Amino acid sequence: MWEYNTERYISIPIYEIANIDNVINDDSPSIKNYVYGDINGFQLKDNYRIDAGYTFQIKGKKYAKHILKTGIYSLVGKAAPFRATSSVFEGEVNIEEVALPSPMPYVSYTFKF
Amino acid sequence: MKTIYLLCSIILFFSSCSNEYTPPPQQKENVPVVLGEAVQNEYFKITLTNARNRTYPENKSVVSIKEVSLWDSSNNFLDKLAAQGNNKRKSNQKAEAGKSYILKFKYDNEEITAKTTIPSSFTANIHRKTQLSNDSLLVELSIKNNASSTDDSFYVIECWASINKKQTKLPFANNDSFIHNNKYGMLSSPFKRLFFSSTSPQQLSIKFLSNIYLYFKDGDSLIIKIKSVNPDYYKYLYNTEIQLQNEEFYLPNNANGYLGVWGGAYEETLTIF
Repeated sequence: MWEYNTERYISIPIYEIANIDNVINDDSPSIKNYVYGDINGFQLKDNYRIDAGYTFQIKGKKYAKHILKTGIYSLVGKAAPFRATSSVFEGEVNIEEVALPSPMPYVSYTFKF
Repeated sequence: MKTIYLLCSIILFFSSCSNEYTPPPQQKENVPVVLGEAVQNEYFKITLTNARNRTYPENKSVVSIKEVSLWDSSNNFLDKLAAQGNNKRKSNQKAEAGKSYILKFKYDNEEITAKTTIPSSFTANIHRKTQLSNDSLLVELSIKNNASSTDDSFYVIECWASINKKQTKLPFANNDSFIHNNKYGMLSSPFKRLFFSSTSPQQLSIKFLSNIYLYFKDGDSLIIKIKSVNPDYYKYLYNTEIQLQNEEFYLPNNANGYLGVWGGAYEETLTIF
């Protein structure tokens, strides 16, 4: 199965500024505040994946049926990220996308009666 | 050998889940940052700096700002803010309650204006101070806006301890349901700032930590600073307070051509001891 996703938009911090307390109270000099550019101003990278699988069906007694599914997710490409975070580290913006590892084998068993 | 192989497989398996990268440059490379609070009967003071866009590569060039001028709401020139080093600027004019002011300066050939209004006066009183069984202190106070306005007034409350002549912001607790810290649950107790808005007089209580008297000696003092602030400044302070507790909460860009805030505040101080 071929799947293509245009990815979602997120807000990312692009400016680092001093905390207001540094100015009005000469307090907390090391604290910084982060300001994002536009709301949902950055789009994550598009992605695609190809899954391959096979289904075995075995007839049991009377109405019973055994179904065994097996295959590999993201045989080609990568899975869509289920979590995306942005941060400022050593003065640079970093975006981290976390997705299922690819390729990812799967097995499922269903019993119908 | 088997354990090492298994461990390497697990590390390889999980490291493949995460993908880190730097986004391409977006928006302006440099933006001015205005930070300041105009308080009634005090000189105008601001800090004017430069914020580098973190999606651009490191660049040492800084846009210089030559002149910052202060204007009233009728666009009459009042003063120039003199540079005092360390990006600080100060005017010889004092702010007046109920009046609006405008700051103007040129940044990268673009004229930037920042506006603020000093809210009207209010009255604050301490009604009762109760020393509780665990040596904590409960202070009940009331706040009443002196202007006959139907608009909400926005208040910010801070507690300051002066110990050995060193000023420190003191955390405290509050359970009043109209306080925005409790109403919206975005900030967790103990608080360093209380936020609320109201059209009518309000009574509230502040509870300090247990054994509070152990930290104070003769000559030390504890005060409550109550500020009535303009709505933009209120929102900015509220958001910065949330960001201190939640790193993934970012401040909105105020889209005025500059970052930061030039807030207006009417301030009253109550001395507890």
